[in-house]
This record gives sequence, structure tokens and C-alpha cells, in this order.
Amino acid sequence: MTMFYILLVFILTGLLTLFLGPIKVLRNIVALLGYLAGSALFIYNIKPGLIYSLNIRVYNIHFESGFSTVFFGIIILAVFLIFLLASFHEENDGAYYLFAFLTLTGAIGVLFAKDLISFFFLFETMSLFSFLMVLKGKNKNSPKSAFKYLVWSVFGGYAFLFGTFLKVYTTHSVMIGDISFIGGHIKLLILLLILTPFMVKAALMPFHLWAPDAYSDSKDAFTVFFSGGLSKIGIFGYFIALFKIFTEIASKYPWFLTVIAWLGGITATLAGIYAFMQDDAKKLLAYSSISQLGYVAVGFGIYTHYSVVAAFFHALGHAVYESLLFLVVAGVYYRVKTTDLRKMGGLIKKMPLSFIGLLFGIIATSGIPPTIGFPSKWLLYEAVIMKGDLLLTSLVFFASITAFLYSYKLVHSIFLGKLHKEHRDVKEAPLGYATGIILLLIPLFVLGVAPGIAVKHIDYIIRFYLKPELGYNLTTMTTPLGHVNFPVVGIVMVSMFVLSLIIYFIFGSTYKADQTDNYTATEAISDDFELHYAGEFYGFMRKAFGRPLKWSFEKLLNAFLKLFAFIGEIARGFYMGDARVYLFYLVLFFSLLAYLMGGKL
Amino acid sequence: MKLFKFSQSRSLWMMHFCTGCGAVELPPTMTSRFDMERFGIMPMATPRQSDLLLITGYLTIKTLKRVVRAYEQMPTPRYVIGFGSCTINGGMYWDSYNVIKKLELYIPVDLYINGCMPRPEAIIDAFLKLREMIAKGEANAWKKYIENYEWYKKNQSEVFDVEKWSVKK
Amino acid sequence: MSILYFFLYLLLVTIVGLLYMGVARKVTAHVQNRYGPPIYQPILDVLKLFGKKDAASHGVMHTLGPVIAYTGIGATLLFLPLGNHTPLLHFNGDLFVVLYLLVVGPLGMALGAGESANSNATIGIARALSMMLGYEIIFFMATLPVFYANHTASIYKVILAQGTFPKWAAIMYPISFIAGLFAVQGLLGEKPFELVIAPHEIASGPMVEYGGKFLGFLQIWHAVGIIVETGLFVDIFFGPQNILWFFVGTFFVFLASVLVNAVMPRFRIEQAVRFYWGIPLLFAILGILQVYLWR
Repeated sequence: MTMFYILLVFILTGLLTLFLGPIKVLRNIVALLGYLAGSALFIYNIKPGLIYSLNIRVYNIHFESGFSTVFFGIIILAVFLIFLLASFHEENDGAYYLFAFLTLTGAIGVLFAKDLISFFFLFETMSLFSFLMVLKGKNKNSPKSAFKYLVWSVFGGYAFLFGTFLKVYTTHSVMIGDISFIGGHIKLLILLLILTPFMVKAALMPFHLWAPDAYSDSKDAFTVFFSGGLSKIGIFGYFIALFKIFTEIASKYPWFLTVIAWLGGITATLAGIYAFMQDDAKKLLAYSSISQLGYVAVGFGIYTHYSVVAAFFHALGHAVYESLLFLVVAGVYYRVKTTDLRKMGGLIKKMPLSFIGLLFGIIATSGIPPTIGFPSKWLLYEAVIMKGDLLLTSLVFFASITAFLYSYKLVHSIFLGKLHKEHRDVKEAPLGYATGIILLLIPLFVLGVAPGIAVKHIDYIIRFYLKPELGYNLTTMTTPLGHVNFPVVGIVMVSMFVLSLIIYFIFGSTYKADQTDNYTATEAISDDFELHYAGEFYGFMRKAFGRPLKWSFEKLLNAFLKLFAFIGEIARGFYMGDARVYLFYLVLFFSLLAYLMGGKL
Repeated sequence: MKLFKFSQSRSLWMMHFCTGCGAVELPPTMTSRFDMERFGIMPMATPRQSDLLLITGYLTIKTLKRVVRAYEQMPTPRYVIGFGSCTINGGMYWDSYNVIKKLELYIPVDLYINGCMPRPEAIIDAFLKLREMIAKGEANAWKKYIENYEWYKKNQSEVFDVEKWSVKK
Repeated sequence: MSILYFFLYLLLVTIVGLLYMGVARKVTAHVQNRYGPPIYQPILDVLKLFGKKDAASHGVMHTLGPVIAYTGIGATLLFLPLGNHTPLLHFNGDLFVVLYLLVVGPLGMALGAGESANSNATIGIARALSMMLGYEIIFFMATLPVFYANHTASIYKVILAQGTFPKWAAIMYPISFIAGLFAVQGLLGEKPFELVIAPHEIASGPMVEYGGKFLGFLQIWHAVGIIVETGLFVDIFFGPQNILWFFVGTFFVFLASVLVNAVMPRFRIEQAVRFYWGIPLLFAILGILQVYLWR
């Protein structure tokens, strides 16, 4: 029953905020309180193993909670809090919060759903209202991006529905349950259809086309939730489809898993490359988000205990650092009113807390210890090598190098380099953003040093489906290949840092140089001289990649679109002619008939 | 301290400010014939990294500003070698309207190399002499600049806009 | 006790690294028909730099950049076995810990150089990061077969698993070894891949605004970096050595790189990256195929 109440609380909060729309302070308080009430209910009452059924006439809604519900629920709720705090600083109306809360309802509801019909219903609720959230975006491109998102969601939704029907037809059950006993290859089709909306949601190539636009054109605070929270539903869907619906996929269709792993690897790499070519902070982060979700697909595709733990942990890490990065960019946008990397620079002295947030965000994104990004990457590499796919390992490693490139571009273009003249009076991001940054920095370090907290829970999620092989405790992980002690890595770094600082302070002295006191071939420069190197940051890589960089799946789809339009135009010509044309068809038809009948007519 | 002084004398990183014709004498000094690197002297890219400013030949007012700026960007202790007659008294440009005659008026100079042109042997000789001076603690011209900062600035302001060209510390 | 041990260890490796740099200068000088400076010259340089006063600092990150760089390389050193001599912590991390810790240094320097607001510095960093797309992936792919064949990701276990001379990975996996040699040249940043520093082009790139003790830090960072990077290569390909032979091994890898450096011009950045995606990548992939066939 609690599960139902939680959803009800969120829906009611949404409706209340709609009616309180104009009264901003009250609306914000109601939104926050409603959120807190719902999440308190969730955290205190939702334990694995709850079951609830609701009878509406002929239709039964089945709810169930498992370990995965709790895991993903906490992530989504936590990211939603960050979004709420940041969104209070934006100009929003009541409907915005209604849509936001209904999106949350859908997202949390999906985690509860036990039968495919209510799963579909709640999933579509989430998609629809997140579409409306994108529609209420921040610039005039938003409707177009939102429409793109809608089309892809609908595509995924129909696939899911079709898959559901096929499953019901073959197994006579709407429950989320095993299909591996069905004869023939139809079970693979069902799996593929059911997996499609999740690949769309988790932006796995080639289903990622909506993501860069929708992420960058939605309002900044919502993007935090969009990327950090909602994409987790895609991951949850991978889990549902590959573990609960098709339990024996590893023995029946191992090649399908290999395809998913390689798609993940390609996604991680290509999105990484696109990311460092972007000149817009949110576009860059959107591609980075896609790239990071590619690793998760790799983890699921490898399908061992190690790799799936890595995938789940990476999803958790993605929620933390990608939210953090989007949040910092949102705060910067709030202050300087642009996300164009070419128009910022040198904000480190003006927004130190945001800088720290972004710095550790990119450190985690790149996977440098002792942050949350490291354990999952480490484990993923070991898992892929154990699987024996060395080329895939190399591909994933390549992807993680691109992470360094786009991370540095992001932090340099916004915070380092020369301060622009018009940004001299910029202040630190306001309270809502700052709170979020601090809140996100805590798990970033804690889980980086003690990943065992989360790994234990992840292990409970999947140990029912996969033989538990990974050795772990609070602070270490052991695989047959290697062993790592995360706090030791952290302690070594900190103590080495202290040692270096001591060396630093023993010797010599420094003076504080102004930004104009710079080596410019001994030319004296004035304060408004443009020294900042930001546009075409990796422009030379265009030459290095050459022509293949211009290829894109979107262009291929557009070519298809043109082809269909062309065929349609011809087909239209058949039907839209005048009487003489139809007469001609008639004559043609009969003469053909006469020819075929061999003159027997 | 003594170790630092010794290493300072044995490792001189040079920024050669090649404004004048003297620049042509430096490639043979660096390369295989005379090889100044055997004394630990290397050319460097920026003033931040250099210890030694080598001013090769005449300085127009236009280049003087930049020399002063480069000099001020160098970390202390820093040394200056005036190369060729032009830095001493203007040399063959003694009556030019836009060439400064005495480098010493604008930045403190540790050593001069006389001649027009001085040969690479003379340059190497000057480097060795400077090395000796540093080891003995005699190459203290950079202190002069700090002590008599106003005087140097006054001299500089007679030929260019000091406000714009000097480094703010 | 262990702290004192580590101090001495770091000091030793730093000094050896500086001597390597001295040898590099001497060798290059001899290739160019010169005498060159004494081998201990880089030590004097570093001492001089630390003795300097008034280094310009452009802000907190600019100051911390070289410090973080040295932190990163020092931390890596603690996890890297030098031949069969093992540091305190080698069992607590493996190849991936070392690879990711290796990045901390360049990242620190990148952040520091970035804050100086000098576009030369940033261009240098952009080049350095792009170069990683070339050599880093080749290095990784070249070492991967060795780890895969011995079924471990621990560097120490890989060293022990190789056995003595004819069983070295360099001989067992010669194709990967060649690919690795290509990568080491880029890893060390020697010509023809010197375009990060490129003194005549972008005024020594990331170091452009660093002088005095900052530059001193970068020098000792580079010194330890030489040992760590060539050491990683030697560990993986030359089997169990005692620490003396280990240094001989690293010295010869470094010497080979210096000799190439002495006679080479410099690539353009896109040429350098594309070079790595050509022949070295082919070698790396063939190396991987070899280990598949071998098993």
C-alpha cells in the first residue's frame, strides 16, 4: 500500500504546486515538503520484498519492490532533490512543477511495477511528462528538441508494447517473468522489443539522437534530473530485460550480449569524440553523459558478476558526477547567462565553489582515484579482460581517454584561462546550486574510498541471477586478475601531496602575478585583450580524424527520410492522377493479364 | 646556500633578446664549434624560465620597452649581459634619434662584451666571467634595480610610457 | 621507518631520473658533434630553480599545478615495482591503478597551466591530451596481451610470471613489444612527438608561465616520470630483474628514445596522432591476435 501512497503523494504535490503557481515562495515550500514526505515514505517503508495489488475493474495493477527498486529509487529521489533546489532559482510556473512531479511519479512507479502493462503505463507517463518538461525549455530550439525526444520515446514505447503483446501471447502472463522457455527465436524478438525503450532512454547508439538536443535545450536544473536521474530508468530496464525477463540469455544467445557490449563500447567512444568537439557546455555534457552510459551497456553485455556490479556502480557514479557537472553548468548559466564555452573563462576566482564542484566532477568522470568514477572503471576493465575481449577493452580504454579531453576542455573554457571583461562582477552561484554541489561532493568521495557500501547492495540485487564471484569488503575489491585497496590509493595521494607541499614551501618564494602579466612575446597587453584559447579547442583533431568524423547516423536517417519522401511522391503519383491516368492503368492491367494468360482470355 | 650559489653559477638559462645584428653570432656559440651547453648555458623560451638576459646589439626605443618588460618578468636573481658596443655607447648608432645609447640607464647590466661584433670566443669568455662573478657573489646588478627602482623608472619614462609597459607587482 | 624509506626511495629515483636527463643531453650533444654539459647538469639546474626567488604565480590552481604533478608521479612510484624490488604498496593496486595515477600528474599540470591564461600553455595542453589518444591507447594495447596471457592485471605478478631471459615478454610477444616501443617515444614526449613542449613554436607550451621553483617541480616531475614510464615498460616486457638491472633496462629504453629524438624533426599534431593510428596500431592489433593464437 505504501508504494501506492508514495505515488499519490507525488501526484498530489504536483497538483498543489499547479494551483499555488503564482505564489512562488509557498509553491516552493509545498514542492519541497511534498518531495520530502514522499521520499521519507520511500526510505523508511520500502524494503525489498513488498507486494501490492490493486484491482480496478477487470485490470489488476501489481506492485512489487526488490533490491533494485531501493537502489534506483534512492538515486532518482536524491537527484530529484538536487534538481528541486536548483530549480527554485529559475523562473518557473506551477505547471512546470506539476510535470516534474508527474515525471518523478512515473519514474518511481516504473521501479515498483510488476506487470508489463502498468510498467508500460508508468513508463509512458514518465516519458510524456519529461517531454513536456523539455517543451518548457529555455530557448526557441526546445520545441524541436522536445519533439525529437517524443518521437524516439514513442518509437521505444510502441516497441515495448508490441513486445508485451508478444509475450502475453506466448506465455499467457503479463507479469515481468521469464521467457527463456519459449521455443523458437521469437523470444529474442520479444527481448529486443522490450529492450528498445531502455536503449532509447539510456541513449545507446544508434538510439541516442534525441539526447544531445533534449539535454541541452531543456532547462538547466531539469537537465540535472534528466541526465542524472531519468537515464537510470534505462539502466533499470536493461536489468529487467536481461535478468528478469530473459534469464538464460547468456547460454541461449551469447552473441546478442556481445552485440550489446560492443554497441556500448562504440557509444562510449564515439560520444566521447563528439563530446570534445562541442563548443557548448551542455552539449558537451550531454555527449559525455551518453558516453558514460555506454560503459554501463558494456558492463551488462559482458554479463558476469564483475561486469554487472561495475555497470550498476557506474550508473550510480554517473548519477553523482553527471548531476554535479550539469548542476555547476546550471549555476554558471544562472550567473553569466551563457553556456557557450567560447564566451566564458577565468571564472575560478569569481566562483570558487563551483570550480571545486566541476573539478571533482571531471576527476570522477575521468575515473581518477580516489573518486566514485574509479572503482567501476577498474572493475569493468578487469571484467572485460577476463572475458577475453581485448579489442573491446582497448575500445573502452580509448573512450576513457576521450573523457580526459572533454573534461579538460570544459573546466578550462569555463573556469581557467582569461577572465572576460564583462564577467568581472560575477558572483558565486546562489544557495540552491551551492547546496547541491556540496551534497553531491559527499558521495563522490565517500563511495570512491569505500565503494563497499554500494557494492554490497548491488551484490544483493544480482546475486540471485549470477554466481557471486567478486571479492569485496567495505574498502577493497578483489578479482582473479588483481586487487585494489581504495583508501590506500587515496591516502598515498594525500600524503604525497602533503610531502610535495612541504617541498614547495621550503624553497623559494612567489609573487602574485596579474593575468596581464603574462608571457606574450614581451608585448604589453591591456586588460581586455583576448588571451583565452577556447573556440576550436581540439580543432586540429578534425584533421586527424579526417572524413569519418563527418559521418553520422542522423545524416543516414535524413537520407532515408528523403528516400521515403521520394518513394511516397512516386506512389502518390499513382493514385492522384486524373481519369485518363486511371484508364491507362486499366488498359495496362488488362493487357498484362492478357499476356500472362497466354491469349486464353 | 653555498650549494644554491654554486648551482646558480653553473646553470645559466639564457634568453637572448635578438634585436640587433649580434644575433648572428649566437648560432655558432650554441652549436658544435663553440658549444656553450658544456658550461650549462642553454637558450630558453620565455623570460619566466631564464636567468640571463643577453641583449645583442642596439636597442631602439620600441624594443627597449619590451626588454624592460622581459627583464621584469624574469625571476630573481637575474643577470644581464650587454653584447656589443651599441649597448655601451650606441656604437655606430651614436647619433641615431631612436636608439638608446646607454643600456645601463634603463636596466642594470652585469657585464658588457665590447666589440662590433664580438666573436663567439668573446661571448664564451663573458659567460665564464659571469660564472665566476656569480660564484663570488659579485653579480648583484639585479639588487640595484630593486633598490633604485624609482631612478630606473624615471630614466625609462623619458623614452616610453612606463605605466603601460612595466609589470605590476 | 617506512616513511623514511619512502623519502630515500623518492630521492633516489628523482636523482637517477635527473641523471638520465643529463645523459640524454650528453648523448644528444655527442650526436650533434658537441661535448655537452656534465651528466649531473640537470641536478644543478633543479637546485638553481629551487633557489630562485619571485616566481610568478597566477592563482591557487596555477600554484598547485606542479605540486599536483609531482604528487601524481610520486604516488605512481609507490605502486610500481622496480624489477623484482617491490615498493611498500605494490600489492594494493595493479595496472589500472598505475595507469590512472599516471594521469594525475599531467592533469595537475594542465589545470595549473590553464589558469595562467596564456594561450600558448593551453595549446600545449590541448596537444598533450590529443596525443594521449595516440600513444596511450597503443601502450595499453601493447601491454594487454602480456597481462591477458598471464591471466593477471597485477604488474608484480606479470614480472614474476615471465621468467628469465628467453622467456621475456619482449621475446614471447615481439609484435606487441615493437608497438610498445613506438608508444614509449610518445609517452616520454621525445621527438618526433615533442609537440607539447615545442619551444620554437608555442614557447615551451604548458611551462610557458612557470619559472623558479615551479619549473623545478616540473623538472623533478619529468625526472621521476622518465623512470616510471620506461620502468613500466621494462617491468612488463623484460621480466624479473634486480633493481640494478632494472635501471640498466630503463636506461637502454630511454637511450633508444633519446637517440631517435636526436635525429628527428617534429610532427604536426594531427600527423602525430594519425601516425599512431597507422603502423603502431596495426602492430598492436597483430600482437593481440598473436596472443589469441598462442593460447
